[in-house]
Amino acid sequence: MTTPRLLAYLTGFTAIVSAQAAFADAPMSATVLEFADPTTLFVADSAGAAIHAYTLLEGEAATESAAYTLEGFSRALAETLAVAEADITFNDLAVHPTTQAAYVSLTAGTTPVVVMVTQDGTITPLDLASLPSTSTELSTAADDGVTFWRDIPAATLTVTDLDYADGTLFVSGLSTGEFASTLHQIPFPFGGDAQTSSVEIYHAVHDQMETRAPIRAMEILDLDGVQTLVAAYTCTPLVTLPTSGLTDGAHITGNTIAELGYGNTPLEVLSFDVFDQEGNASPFVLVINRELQANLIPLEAVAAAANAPGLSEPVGLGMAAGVETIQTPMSGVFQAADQDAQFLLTLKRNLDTGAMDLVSFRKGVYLRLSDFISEYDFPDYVYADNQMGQGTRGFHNLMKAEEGFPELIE
Amino acid sequence: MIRVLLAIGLAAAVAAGPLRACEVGETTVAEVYPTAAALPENMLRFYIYFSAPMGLDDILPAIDLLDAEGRVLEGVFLSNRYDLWSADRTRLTLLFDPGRVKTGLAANNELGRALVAGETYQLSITVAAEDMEGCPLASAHRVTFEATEADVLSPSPEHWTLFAPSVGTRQPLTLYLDGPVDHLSLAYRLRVIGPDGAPVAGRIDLDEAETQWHFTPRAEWSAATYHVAIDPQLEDLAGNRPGVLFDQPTDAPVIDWLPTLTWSPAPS
Repeated sequence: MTTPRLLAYLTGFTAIVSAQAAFADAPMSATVLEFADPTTLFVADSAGAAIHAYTLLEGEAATESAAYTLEGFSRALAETLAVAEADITFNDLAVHPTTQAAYVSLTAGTTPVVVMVTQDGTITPLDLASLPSTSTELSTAADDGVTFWRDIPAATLTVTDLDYADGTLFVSGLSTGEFASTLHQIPFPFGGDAQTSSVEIYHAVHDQMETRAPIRAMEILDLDGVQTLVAAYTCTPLVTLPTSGLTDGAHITGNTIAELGYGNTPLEVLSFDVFDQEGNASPFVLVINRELQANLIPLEAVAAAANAPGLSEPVGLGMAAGVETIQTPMSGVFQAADQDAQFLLTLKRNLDTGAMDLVSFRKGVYLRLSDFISEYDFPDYVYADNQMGQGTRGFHNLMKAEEGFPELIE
Repeated sequence: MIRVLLAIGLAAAVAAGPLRACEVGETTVAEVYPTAAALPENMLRFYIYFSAPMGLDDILPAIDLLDAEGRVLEGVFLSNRYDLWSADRTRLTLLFDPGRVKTGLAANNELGRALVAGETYQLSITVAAEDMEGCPLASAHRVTFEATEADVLSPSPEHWTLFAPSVGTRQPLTLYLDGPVDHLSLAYRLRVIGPDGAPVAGRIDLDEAETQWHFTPRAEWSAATYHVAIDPQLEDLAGNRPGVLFDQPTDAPVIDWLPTLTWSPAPS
C-alpha cells in the first residue's frame, strides 16, 4: 500500500503556499474582490494564481445612506483611465463596509485595475503596487526535477468567488488544468495551514448521481447557528453544506436545494437584511444570474431546505425546482453587493446605451423607477387623493430623489 | 471625504496604452490535446496550446465546434467569467459545459450532450483569436475527430502494463495505460519514487494519443525497489478518476485501486 510519505509528493489539486511580502508587485490580474474588514481588501489574481490582501487606510464612516446613480459609469471610467471604453472588462464589485465606497475590479486593455468610486462619481484608481499587502499563492506542484516532452505549464486555480467569514477566506475556483471543484479555506492573516476539500453535489436524477462541478458563486451564511456554504453551480443547482464538514482532504456531498433553471450562469450569491419601518430585519439570499432573473429567497427558506432532503427527482424541461424563489426584475445586473441598510449596489449593463452603470437598487423594491416609463410619468397624471394614491406618490418621490431626479418630485 | 491611498501611478500602470492592432499575426495554434482521432462523447475538455502568450479576454468567439456539415454547434463550451488560461497565457483549457455532459441535469435533459457517438466533428480556432499584442493568429486551425461511446470506466492502474528498464542504464520506464489519460495528469499526477522515498528527476514523454507514458531518468537506475505513485486526482478524458467516475451513482460500491505500482529495474 501507499505510504503517506509517497503520496506526500503528490500535491493533490492545489497546494496553498503562503508568502508574506511588505509590498508585492502589481498583480497580473484583479478579479474577485472581498473585504475582510474596513482596512483589508482581498483581490484575487487569477492570472497570477494568487490572492492578495491589501491594507487600506481606514476611511471615515458614511454618515448617511445615499444611492449610487452613476449612469454611464463605464464612460467616465474610460476617461479617467485614458483607455477606450471597449477595452474595459469589468470583473467584480465590493462595497467598503463602513465608508460605503464602491470598489470595482477590471481589466483596462491588459492592465489590472481596482478603482474606488464614491456616490458623487469621483473615481480613484488604487496603486496596487504601492499598497502594503500580503499574498497567498494558489500554485500546483513545486519543481521536483521532472520535465515534460513539451513545455506544459502547471495548472493553477482561477478563482470564481471569495467569501470571508470569522478569520477564514473561502476560495472557490476552476482549475486551468484538470477539472476540479476544490474549495480552499485559508486562514487570515495568511501563513496558517490552508485546508482543501473536494465538494461534490447530488443532482436530481432517478438514481442519484454525484458529480464534481465548479462553484461559480458562493456565500457563507449562518443558518440556524450553523455556518453553511451556499453555492450556486454552473448549471444552476443551488447547494448548501455545513462548513464544519470541510476538513482537509475531505470529500463532501452538498445538498441540492434548488435547480434555478437551465441555460443560465449564476454571477453572485449575496445575503443581506431588509429592514421594515420599525427597524426589524428580514434576512434574504439573492442569486444574481447572467441569463435569468435574479432569485430572491428568504433566508429561513434556505435554512429549512438545507435541513431537509435535497432534490431527488429529475427536473423537467425548462423547469425550476426545489426551494421557491421570488423573481426580481434585475436583469442586466452583472455584479451586486450589499451596500447598506437601504440599498444593494450593482454594476448594471444599460440596455439602451450599452454602458455599464453603477447604480443602487432599493432593497424590498428591486427595481429602479427611472428605468421605466409608465402612466405615472405623463405630465397630466394626478395621484388619487386617497391613501393608496398618496402613498404611491410618496414612494415615487422617494425613488425619484434617490435616483437623481429631484426636479420630478410631485 | 474618504482617505485611501491615491494612485498617482495610474499613468504608469496603463502605460501599455491601447492595444496595438496588427494586420497579420505570427502566433499559431501549436497543439491541441487530447490528440486521439476518436474521443468519447462525454469528454470534458480540450487544451489548446498557442505559440505565444495570448490576450486574456473574449477568446470563445474565435472557437467553435462544427458538425460534419460545417455547422456551428451552440452552447457547447462553458463560458466562464474568466477563461481558463495557464499562468504564461499559452494554454487555454476549454471545458465542455458540464451541465450537458452530466446526466440528469436540466441542461442534459433538454439538450443532451454536444457530442453524439459515431458523428464527426471539427474543433475550429479562427484567426480572430488575439495574442497578447492584440494581433490575430497567423492562420486558422482545425482538428477533426470522431465521437465514440461515452467512457464510463475509471482508469485502472492495476490494468496498466509496466515495462521495466535495466539496472545501470537510463532506459525509459514505460507504462501502457488502459486508455487515454488527460495529458496534464500524465505530466503532473504520476511520479517515479526512488529508494530514498524522493521523486526521481527525469523527463516524461507521451505516445500513442496519451495511452503510453515514458519516463527517462536523469541518472542511471540502481538495483533497488522503485514505485510509481499515482495521484488519486488523475483523470481520463471524461474526468473519471481511479475508483471514481465523473458521474457516479451514490450507491456505487467503493472500488479499490492501486495508488502505487512497485517495480525493480531488470538486472543488467
